[in-house]
Amino acid sequence: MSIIQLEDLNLIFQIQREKRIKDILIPGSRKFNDFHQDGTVHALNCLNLTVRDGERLAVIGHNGAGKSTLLKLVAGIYAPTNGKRIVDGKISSMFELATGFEMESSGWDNIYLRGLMLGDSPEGIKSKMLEIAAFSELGDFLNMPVKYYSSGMFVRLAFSVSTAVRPDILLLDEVVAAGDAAFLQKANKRMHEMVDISKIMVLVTHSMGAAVEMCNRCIWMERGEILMDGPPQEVTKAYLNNI
Amino acid sequence: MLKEYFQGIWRDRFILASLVNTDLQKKYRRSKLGVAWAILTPLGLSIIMGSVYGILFGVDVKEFIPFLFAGLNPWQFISGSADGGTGAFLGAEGYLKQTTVNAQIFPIRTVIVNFINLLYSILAFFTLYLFLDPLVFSAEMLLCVPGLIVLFLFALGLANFSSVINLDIRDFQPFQTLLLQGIFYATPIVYQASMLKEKGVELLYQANPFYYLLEIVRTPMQGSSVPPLEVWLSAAVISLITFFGSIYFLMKRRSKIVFKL
Repeated sequence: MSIIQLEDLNLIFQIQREKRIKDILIPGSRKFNDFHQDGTVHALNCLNLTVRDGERLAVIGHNGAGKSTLLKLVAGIYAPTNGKRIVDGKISSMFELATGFEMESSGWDNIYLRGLMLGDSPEGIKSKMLEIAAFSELGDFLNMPVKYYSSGMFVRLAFSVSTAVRPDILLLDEVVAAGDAAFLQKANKRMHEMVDISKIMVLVTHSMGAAVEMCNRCIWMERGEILMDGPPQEVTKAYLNNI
Repeated sequence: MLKEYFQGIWRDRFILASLVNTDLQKKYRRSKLGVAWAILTPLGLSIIMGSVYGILFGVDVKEFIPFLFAGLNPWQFISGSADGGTGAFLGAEGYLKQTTVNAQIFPIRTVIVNFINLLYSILAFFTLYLFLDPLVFSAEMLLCVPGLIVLFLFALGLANFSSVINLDIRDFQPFQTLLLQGIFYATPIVYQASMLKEKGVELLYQANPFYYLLEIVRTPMQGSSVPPLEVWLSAAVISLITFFGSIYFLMKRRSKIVFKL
């Protein structure tokens, strides 16, 4: 039984302002640097959300609406400023591309390291190495340092590891789109499989097609708040009408 | 807080081992001599410096090179750890923003890598000593092992502090480099403590925490004498205060780290 439960949750970013000696000595030199007076951004505003077993949640909204922040908060990477966050279940996640790799290490070493970081044991990840390698279809490229990889290859690697650790809760941030058509299809299939074994998935996406096709619930976020919550067809329609 | 700190390290011990391994391999990648450089560099440096001092100041090279060597390398470990700490979290941005890996392992990562280099240099030291003065080898030299443990905790403490401070104040890194350079010259490393005494400024080393920490490694390594008990105690107290203080400092800011990257 896995669950994500957020109650009256707020997340406020403290923006680090660049203030240099130059700015004090030369008046007016900061005019592009003054974007926010108090230096805070209210990224998530009094959020209430419960996601239960079997739910495949799509999160849509404009850039900067707080979608990725929500995902990272659920993952436990960001701590809420205040409010309650209960997440029960083993999490696997995939956020930005091409970060969280050891650039000088080979693909194999990165599979191992990433598997560990996602909470697997050394034996666990070692036993899955071949399966992960096969799914990624990277073949001999896995012997190469990953600094030579293309963004599509990073996606393959990251997605293969993230979904191989058999999480209860899978958090994905739009990343799959960078893979090629064949891989996209494969990834979709795997995501369906994962949800079939009664787990939670949260997918942040700008593709209304993906939201409707892969998810059974959808929330529309704007300025850190949930504007609408319901079946993907309805929410995406409302969202598209709004644009 | 303390429990949380050590539990986190234990949970991510395999990640730590894997990262340290990567760092060590990366360091000597594509170099012909590879890890031999870890031994050759301190060896060469000590011989160069020892010869210069021998010619310029007429010191006894046979005595001075081991002294220099035994002090210089632990010092480089301390300053390397403190300096490496400043980039510990910044360099781990990808991991900290993508996974829930425990942040406290990243300062440890740099300190362990530096420590392994120190161990190599100690190996070089004893090799050199074997040629210079084989008669001086004794069981008392083993006392450098507890000394190294105390030194390790101290260096980790410094790395913890610098890693967190540098997130808020990026000017800390160049400032710390300058500060360490100053301490290097104020501490009897490239000259004997007795020289400060002759000038009447023995307070400079007596009030210097770095002096005690170097002393508990350096003196046993030279094999001729054992540091007095008060030196041991001072070093242990300084080290433990720094270490536990840094844990408190780091864990209090633990959840804020990711926002500052």
